[in-house]
Amino acid sequence: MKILNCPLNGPRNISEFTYGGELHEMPDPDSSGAREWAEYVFFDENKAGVVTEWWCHTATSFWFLAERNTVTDEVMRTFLASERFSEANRIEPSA
Amino acid sequence: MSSQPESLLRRSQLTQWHIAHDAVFESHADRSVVAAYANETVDGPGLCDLSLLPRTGLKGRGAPDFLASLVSDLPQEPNNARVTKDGTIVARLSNEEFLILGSLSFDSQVVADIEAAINSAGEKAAYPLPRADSHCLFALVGAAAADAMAKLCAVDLRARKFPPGAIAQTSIARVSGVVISHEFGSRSGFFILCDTASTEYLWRSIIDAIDEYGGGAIGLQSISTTD
Repeated sequence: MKILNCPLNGPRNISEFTYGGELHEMPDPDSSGAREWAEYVFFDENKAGVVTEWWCHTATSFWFLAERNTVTDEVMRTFLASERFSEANRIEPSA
Repeated sequence: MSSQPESLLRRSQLTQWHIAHDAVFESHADRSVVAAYANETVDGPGLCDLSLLPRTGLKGRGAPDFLASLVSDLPQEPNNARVTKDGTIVARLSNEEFLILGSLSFDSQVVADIEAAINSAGEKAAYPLPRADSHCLFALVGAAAADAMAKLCAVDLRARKFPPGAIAQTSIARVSGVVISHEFGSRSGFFILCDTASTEYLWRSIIDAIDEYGGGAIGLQSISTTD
């Protein structure tokens, strides 16, 4: 079985993971139009090569990012989402 | 007061299984727990239903600091557990998530104290993650426990790779669960938790797995006497 390395839990069988789609840069919700927003929500680039994807370790509901070559299916590395999302992007609960 | 499950408020989902296997019950406050089975002769790994053991959890950015104000010596790294002086098990499931299991004596106030503190502290400190009704809890004890678990779980749970205090959050018999390595007195073993909806399935799966090693169900007395 394929093994994927979860940044929190370590190497696990691929059956413990759920694919979450490509990582997309979110357009500015205030200035983007309907088309741009629909592309962000619904469309993938489907690039042949190295892409960055969301993966979830199902047993812990832990989401992280992976760089994967879609041609060779080789996973270059997996890493915490905090590496790409700064503290400033964190959504704070309303007071 | 009778310790029979019918006369107490809290009983395990596996009560009918326990009764069918001649369980002898004992009461801990309003909980009916299997003390032993009438013909309990287990040579191999023993599986004990601890689903009524008090437990709770908390999560959130403030969880480590909040819990540190109540419990000393928290595990510093995710997927590690520590046992406090009174036998409470504090398991760190991620940087911001903790699971707390009460001591096996069932008389610890720590879990109730933590729950009360969370509820009175407000949302900002941490949010409660109750585990008593969401998850079942088993203990699997005995030298061959890791060998038996190898039939159900892909993570290497042998002691040299998975020492006491180690945690694996993984798939057990195709069900998501948590395995915590723990020393029950002089015997090694595991706490095993999974979603409460899979309680009966996982219990029967582990019973089936340990049967090959001469194992079977054991009551709380067998766990306690290993101390």
